[in-house]
Amino acid sequence: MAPEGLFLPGEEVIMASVKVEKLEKVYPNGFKALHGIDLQIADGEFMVVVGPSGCAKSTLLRLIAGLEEVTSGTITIGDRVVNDLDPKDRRIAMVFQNYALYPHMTAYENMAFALKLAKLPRAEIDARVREAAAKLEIEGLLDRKPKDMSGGQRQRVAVGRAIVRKPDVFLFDEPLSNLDAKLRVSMRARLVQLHRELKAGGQRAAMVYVTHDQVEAMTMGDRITVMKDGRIMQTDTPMALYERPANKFVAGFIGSPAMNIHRAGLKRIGDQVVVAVSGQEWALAPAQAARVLASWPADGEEVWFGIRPDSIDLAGPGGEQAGLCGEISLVERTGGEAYCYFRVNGDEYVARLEGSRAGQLQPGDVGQFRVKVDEGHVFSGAGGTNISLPAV
Amino acid sequence: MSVRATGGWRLRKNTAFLLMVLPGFIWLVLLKYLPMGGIVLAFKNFHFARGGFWQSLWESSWCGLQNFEFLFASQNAWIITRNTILYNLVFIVTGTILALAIAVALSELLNRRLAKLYQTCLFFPYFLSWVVVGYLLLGFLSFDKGAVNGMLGQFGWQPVQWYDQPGVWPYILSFINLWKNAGYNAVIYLAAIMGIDRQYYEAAEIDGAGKWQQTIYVTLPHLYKLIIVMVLLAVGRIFSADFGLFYQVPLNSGALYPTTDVIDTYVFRSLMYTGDIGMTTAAGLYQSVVGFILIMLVNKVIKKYDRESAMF
Amino acid sequence: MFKTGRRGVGQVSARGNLLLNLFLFLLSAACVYPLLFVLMISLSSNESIAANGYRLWPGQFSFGAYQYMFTIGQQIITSYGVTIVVTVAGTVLSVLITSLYAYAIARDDFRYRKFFTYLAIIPLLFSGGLVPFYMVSTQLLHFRNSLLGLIMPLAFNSFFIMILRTYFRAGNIKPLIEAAKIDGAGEFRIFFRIVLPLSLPGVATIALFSAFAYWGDWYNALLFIDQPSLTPVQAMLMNIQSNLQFIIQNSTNLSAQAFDLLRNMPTDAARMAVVILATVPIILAYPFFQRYFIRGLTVGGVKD
Repeated sequence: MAPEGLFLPGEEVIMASVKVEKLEKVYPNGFKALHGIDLQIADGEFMVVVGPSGCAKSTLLRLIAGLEEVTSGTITIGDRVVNDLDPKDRRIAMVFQNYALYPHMTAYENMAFALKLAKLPRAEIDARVREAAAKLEIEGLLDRKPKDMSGGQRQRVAVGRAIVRKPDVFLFDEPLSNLDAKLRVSMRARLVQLHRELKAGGQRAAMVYVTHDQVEAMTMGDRITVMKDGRIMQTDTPMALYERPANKFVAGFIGSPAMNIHRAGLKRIGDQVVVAVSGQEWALAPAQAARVLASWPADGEEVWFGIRPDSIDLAGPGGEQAGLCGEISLVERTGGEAYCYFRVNGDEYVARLEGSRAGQLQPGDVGQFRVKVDEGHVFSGAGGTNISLPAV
Repeated sequence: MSVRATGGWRLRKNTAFLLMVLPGFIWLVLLKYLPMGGIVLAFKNFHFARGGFWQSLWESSWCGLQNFEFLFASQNAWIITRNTILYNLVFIVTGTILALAIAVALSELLNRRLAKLYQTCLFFPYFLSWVVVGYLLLGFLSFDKGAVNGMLGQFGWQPVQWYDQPGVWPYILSFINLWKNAGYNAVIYLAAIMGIDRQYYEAAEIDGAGKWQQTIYVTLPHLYKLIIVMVLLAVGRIFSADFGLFYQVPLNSGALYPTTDVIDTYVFRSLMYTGDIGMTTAAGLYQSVVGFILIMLVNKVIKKYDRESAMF
Repeated sequence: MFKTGRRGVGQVSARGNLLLNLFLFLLSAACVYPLLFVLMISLSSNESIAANGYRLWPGQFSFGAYQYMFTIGQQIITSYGVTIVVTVAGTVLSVLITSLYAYAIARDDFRYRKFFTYLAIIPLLFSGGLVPFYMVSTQLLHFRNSLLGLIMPLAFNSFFIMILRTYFRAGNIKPLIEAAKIDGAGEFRIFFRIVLPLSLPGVATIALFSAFAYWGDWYNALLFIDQPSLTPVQAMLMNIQSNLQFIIQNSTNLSAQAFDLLRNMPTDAARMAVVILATVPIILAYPFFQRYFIRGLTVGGVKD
């Protein structure tokens, strides 16, 4: 079975480092955690798997690691099917949510443990541990035990333990979720940088990074896989996910504040398509209308209309088209920008405004807003599929 | 293409675990499960014959329930059953009350250092063997030199042959049981008391409850579940006696059997001295079966009452 | 246990505290006093016992009993030796067997864990009784007059299994097992290098329970041992008690002459001295290990 090529934006065709095919996981109690997952991760790619808790993203990771048994389907790492291999033979390394550092060993011993078990020469072990320690700036901690380290330091040792093994695949299981907010941001940047350095150093390891935090996903991943209830919702680059969500779930999950999505009706007037939402009627742009027409839902079926907070702005002085008018319930000012929550016909909207434009807005005021309808999305009522996306 | 995880991986993983349980498994089979098979003796007319035990076992004839009939026809079955149950009932009631009193007292003591010291003293007898306890008691009850008779003598009373007086032994054994085990049970209750959130006491204090009322309305209700479970567990074991207490402490004195003989001591002596294997096995089986039924019943009751505390 | 002692609000009154102290002091004294009493008997001279019986404060102190024992007491040294060998070997063996078994059934990915868990629990509920056990032990396993008869019956304990299983199932252990798997450690290495060091408090608890059980065991000697060279301390105590029992039972119709003869040997004090010698290790060790026992009592349940 030859590994297939995979095209990544901006890169040449390269080999898939991890390939997951029709992967299913059913627990002994009958619970089906994964429903046939297909996923390819390229050499040197940083893949983030994101989804709400309970979506089985960690299960996927643990199956790749070999910590749990595959029910059916295959996992290929490099050019080997690893279903029946022990974790140690899969050429992977893993960073755990709680770091899982051995409490009775020093940082050095923690990092060296796997290499010792692999019976590497002592000098080689020492060189690798010191190199990784230098990279992570933890040379001073090598003699400390985990209990004498801060959360951030433990985290770095845990990463070090993974690096020294020079694996083909790094697996991260929510490694930042136990750090405080500030540290999380800096570790985020550090991990991305580390990935770049490893790559530059010729170690084209793939990273599979599981998180529930969509900000982490957006900022770290070369590509992101969004999961829900044991199924993949969409896999794409961060910006593509943001701009072209394949379905209502991805649209709502990616982006903060979340996209405004409300029940809507579609009307066809000639070759124009009009969307009726929150008591307003807006004509879609011609290109968008054509796409919606191509997958026109059953007559009378309701759909969803979604519009990002960025696509709503305060209206200028002269009344414009495609406007929303509603009572403001809350204004959250973060300095540079402000989130303005308002209600139209019972539907809650949020708009992202420039800080200065939010001006004197107060809860209770009636605000006039302008909507960039051509940046909106139409999702089918039943499946939630985005029917306004350009066909690929 | 779909590849199922092959048996090979699974087996390899489980081999290590199977090796780990192997020594324990062998032990269980030899010392627990094989003897369970030995209950066939209860239904056999067993006599040692030439050719050793196994051949005798093979050759001895089946006798149905004859061994049981023989056991229950004697006065003994009634006496040992009565003694076992009555002693255990007394132990459960007195033991629980004293253990609770000790636990509450220890938890309320202002000086924690003293509390720790008391606890160490009270827990201590639990670690003495019954042989040693027998000696300690002998220091007091010895006919010619014991402290008790010495005291009686000072008042001009006649010394008592304590080891010849069956009537006093229910009291003595109940006391000794308390002496040895109350501290142990108190430790369990104390741990539970220390786990009670302090805020309940603060709330009670604000509501105007005095210390005694706090014990009644805060401490005891929190222990209620634990007490019930502990008592029920003891009830489940009501059919088996602490062999050491009833064998070592009365010094196996024959005159005391009417009030000190329990199922366990009876079975032991029958095995060692009378050699009626079949009937003795029958007595042991009678104890095991009734005990088993009791434990299952108790577990069922606990399960109904509080799933968490059920044994299995 | 007392780290979170309650103070301030909700304290007992000074008078209440005094009463509690009195209550606990009396009970504590009652717990310690008998041993003190026996100690004093062992330090009494023969004459003062003959004259006054057992007294907390003997008329005349004497180390005669201890001297007597160490001059004629070859048996004491032998018995001590037996007890120490049995205690050490038995404790090591039982910790090994028990912890391996408990660990395997604590692992979720052990396919047959349910079966082996039940296998360990069932003997707690039902047993074949003494006679079949005795027959298997003597006829099949040849425990009669063998150190195995003192070691094996206590080498495995289902309660220990349940206590240890609780430690091995602690939340912090599982991720470490997984990390070790990924690091390439085999199951036995994971157990000995990772799990065992981390569960040391639990294993120590079991080791102590086990050591105390072996030290205080007389039951298996009663069943299996009649050779003096294999008699452990507790059983030796029991044997010298039988003589005493003989004295007591026959003391009413004993001739004056025989009484005199018995009184001239420091038998009473000597016996009590053996009691003290058998108990001293426990007295010395117990206070240090108390907290392990308490922990052992408060964790572990049979339930899955």
